[in-house]
Amino acid sequence: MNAAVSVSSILLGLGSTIPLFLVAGVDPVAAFQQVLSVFTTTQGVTEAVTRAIPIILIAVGLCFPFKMGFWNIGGEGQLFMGGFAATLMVLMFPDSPSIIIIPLMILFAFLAGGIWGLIPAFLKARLQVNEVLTTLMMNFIAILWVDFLVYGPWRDPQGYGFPLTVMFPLEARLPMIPGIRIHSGLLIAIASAILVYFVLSFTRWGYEIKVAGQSQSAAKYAGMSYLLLTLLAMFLSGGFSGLAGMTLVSGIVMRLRHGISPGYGYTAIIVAWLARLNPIGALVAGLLFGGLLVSGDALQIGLGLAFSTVLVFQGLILLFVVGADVITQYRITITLR
Amino acid sequence: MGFAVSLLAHAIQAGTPLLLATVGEIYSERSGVLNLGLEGIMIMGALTAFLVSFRTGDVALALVAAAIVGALLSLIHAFLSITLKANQIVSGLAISIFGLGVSGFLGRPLIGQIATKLQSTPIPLLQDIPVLGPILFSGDVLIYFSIIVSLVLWFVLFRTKFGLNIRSVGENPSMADSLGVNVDLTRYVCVLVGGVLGGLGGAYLSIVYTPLWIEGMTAGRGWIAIALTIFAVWNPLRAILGAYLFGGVVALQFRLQAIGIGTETPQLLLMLPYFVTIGTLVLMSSATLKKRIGVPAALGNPYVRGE
Amino acid sequence: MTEKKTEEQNVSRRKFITGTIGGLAVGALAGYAGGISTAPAGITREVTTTTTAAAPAKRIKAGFIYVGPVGDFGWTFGHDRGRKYVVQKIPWLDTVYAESVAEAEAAGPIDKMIADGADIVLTTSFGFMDPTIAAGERHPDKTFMHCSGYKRSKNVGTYFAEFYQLYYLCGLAAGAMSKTGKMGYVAAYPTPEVVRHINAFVLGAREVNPKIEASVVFLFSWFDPGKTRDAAVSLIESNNADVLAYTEDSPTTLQVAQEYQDKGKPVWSFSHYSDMTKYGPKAHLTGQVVEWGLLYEYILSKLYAGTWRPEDSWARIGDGMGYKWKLPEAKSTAEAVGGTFETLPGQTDFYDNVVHLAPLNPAIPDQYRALIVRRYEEMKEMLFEPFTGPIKDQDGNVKLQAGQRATHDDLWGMDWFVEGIPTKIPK
Repeated sequence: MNAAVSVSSILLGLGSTIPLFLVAGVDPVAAFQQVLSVFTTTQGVTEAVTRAIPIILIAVGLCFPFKMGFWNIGGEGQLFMGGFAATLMVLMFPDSPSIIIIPLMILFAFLAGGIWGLIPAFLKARLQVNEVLTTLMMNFIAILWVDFLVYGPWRDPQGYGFPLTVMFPLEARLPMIPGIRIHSGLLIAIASAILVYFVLSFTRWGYEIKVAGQSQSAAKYAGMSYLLLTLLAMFLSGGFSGLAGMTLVSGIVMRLRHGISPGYGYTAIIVAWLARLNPIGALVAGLLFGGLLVSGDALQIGLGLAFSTVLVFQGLILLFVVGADVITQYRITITLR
Repeated sequence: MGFAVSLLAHAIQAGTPLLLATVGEIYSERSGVLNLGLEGIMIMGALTAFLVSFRTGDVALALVAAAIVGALLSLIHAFLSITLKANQIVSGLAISIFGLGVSGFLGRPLIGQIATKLQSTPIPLLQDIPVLGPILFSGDVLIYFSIIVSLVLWFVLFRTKFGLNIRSVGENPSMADSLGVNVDLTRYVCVLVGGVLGGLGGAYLSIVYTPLWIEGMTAGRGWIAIALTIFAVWNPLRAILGAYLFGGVVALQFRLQAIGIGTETPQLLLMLPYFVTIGTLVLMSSATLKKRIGVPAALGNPYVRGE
Repeated sequence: MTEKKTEEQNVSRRKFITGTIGGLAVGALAGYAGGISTAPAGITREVTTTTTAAAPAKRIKAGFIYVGPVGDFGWTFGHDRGRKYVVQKIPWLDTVYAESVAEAEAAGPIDKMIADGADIVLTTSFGFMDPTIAAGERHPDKTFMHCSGYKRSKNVGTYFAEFYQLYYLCGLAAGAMSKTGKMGYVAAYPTPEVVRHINAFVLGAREVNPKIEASVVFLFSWFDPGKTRDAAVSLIESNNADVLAYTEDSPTTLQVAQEYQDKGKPVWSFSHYSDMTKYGPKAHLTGQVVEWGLLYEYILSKLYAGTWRPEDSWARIGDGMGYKWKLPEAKSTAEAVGGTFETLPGQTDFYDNVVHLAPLNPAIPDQYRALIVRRYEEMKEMLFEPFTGPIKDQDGNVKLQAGQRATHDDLWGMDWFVEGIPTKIPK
């Protein structure tokens, strides 16, 4: 029964886009064929997976604070800080072999993102400063910090003054997975999803985070430190977002520059919700969402639709999914503290 | 002195769209409904106002149309969140995406066009008061409206029965329900208020502040307004302070750049509004704790009778 | 109560994900199936084709990658206007385009365009530089053009329309009209392109008024009408600037100038990328306008003729001029800079119009109008280069000796402000 409702909601959502395509002067069948091509061509799937990698990483990390009712809107800024830290490693150790530099980048990206996430957690836990506001503001600050670096001290002297760092040496770039044109950030994403799933389901911390999410007083009664849990959850979440930043600068962009992320931190929030805060679900939902985003390219290029039309398409699908989710979920409660 | 007066006048202009959107969002959130669709609502308001002004030349009609369109968009969110009890965060995000897309879609033919703008109407006599005159009384009707509406809505929220109902619905809906308050209706009204004011905030951008239509011209103001709602501690009076403060700091950092301060590292200067916002919130937080003003307890939770 | 919810959530979670995947699959299959049933039932070929001398005419498909929406009325709008120009003018051309492509996500749309049969992909933002080169490596038999970058490869060329000369002419107008001796510049980012615009503008103004100054404000955004307004108002109110130039994608600065004109205070400004006179009829002095279509026509024609080379097509006033305009080498004092342009058969003054001046405001006094026109003509003949020494930077260091002209690299890597700009350049 529930599955039938979900299916019909997706169909309804897709169906609602038919008038949209007609108004835009496009054959709806051709439109759906374009969307399908994303999932059936190598090029489409490769692109969808590549685009999903940073989204998956952030969404996986968001499971921790979201389960506790702590609204981390700061994935974007934590991503930028991760990119910054990864670049710092490259600039400090430009001649390192891959076996050293890549793990260093991963480690420090995680740390940087984690620390960036700790700050709003601390402000909330100690001073009751609302985390939606602080995490949001810190996104802007992180983005401007990276701007400052790439316009100033880290600017490539050979770069004609453009705001970018030197290109990363080959050793510092995430290698492609042999056989397919996707960088190994995918492996990091998959590993992270499994790791987080493991932590949430089988460790004490994971258990405590889930309990604290259901009821703060229950957590306190059971002797858990709410403060510590909040800090831990946000550190982990920030860390995975930082990792996402690392995969971007080391897997796609190959340097640090202005604007490395077009809002993945915010997209990941939607994906985490779609995944019901389950890290394996985040993997699947992230891939599907990557497909949805790439289908936007297909619609634009294959059919000449304007980008704004694509946004409407995505928005409509999302709205119907939200609506239907209700019926399958019945009583999902999200508590803002 | 001239610098300060001019800066304050500028701050009020820059802050007005934020103020309108913020006060509307305050009402929505006070009743327990988080509306993250504000960006979409504002941009649709901007588009509608421009479109109507362009087609008819009637600015008043343009403003009314923007308010209606804002209300309609927020109605979708209300239906999803209140009646269907869907997840409010994602519903709001979907509305934002949807609104951005529709506005771009419908706005294509309007690129490069000129519409009638709302002229400023300084209040005679009052505008000549030194200092206060140029700051407060030399603007346009939307500025005056935004201030009056904020004051009125503050009064309603804190001094009337309806306001009490709103607050109780936001804090403890089941108790409000048992006392006979229609929870769903109250929430619908509040979300619609948010939509109306959000639409007007967007309209301000396209027919007053920077009179043109360009895709995405709200440039994230909807998100700033959501942040300001928290900054204002869900109090319309504080919203006035917050909106003008934020608008003022943005203007201030350009003023500082213009007179040569901080231009060697302008990014750091650009961070100023965000630091100020966090800093002020931190400072206020201890006061908040003492007065126990805070998030409406039921914010984000759909209400189901019998829970 | 809470346990039950969790259990429900668990069950429903699985169902939801199954439902989502299932739903998308079913929906997509439905679309595909529908497509099959409505597709033409086999293609009936006419066996008797009249094969005349010519094989089916070759067509070229060009893909355009835009960084913003066509609706920005600025940078991307200008490029799309250029695309529409070539579509309408060239019979053998098909085009596709993708808007609002994030720089980190360019690979996907580029590959999709190639997969759909594009022969050439043009990427219209600096940020696409690395993805374009990488795409060139992935598709070695296709052609790529990158706008505003500096990397080329055997199948990737670059192109750009240069404004600094026009900014110099705007500066002349500014110097002529400014009464306060103070100008303002609303700048997007401190990139070399913007820095040369600013410098050229101030150099031009100083030719008319050697004491004039310009303060610069950075927005850190290419496109933000609200912030632009704030910046413009700040420059007028705090610095008493009465001429505002800008590098930003909207007509807002001009609108602000017009607003002050309407209130009785003369403030002047300019067009940028397209003719924006209607946004500020009184305040509009002139401006820099680009017709990307002419440059696209040049590039695509070469591709069609088989003479495309991975060169830098850097369109300035004076580059690539048809021979009837250019003075013989011996009479020209120009130094060869930038790319080389051949003349295609039938072409005359191609580049004169890629970048040109917006209409001049009649309020500009005649002697200065004459000066502006004269400098423009001189630039066409490569007799006049705005960046000719002696030029000092804002700290007093000599950057160009007397008579020395800035080279391509000097211009492309410009990271210093000229004298007359009190604002310290961000380092």
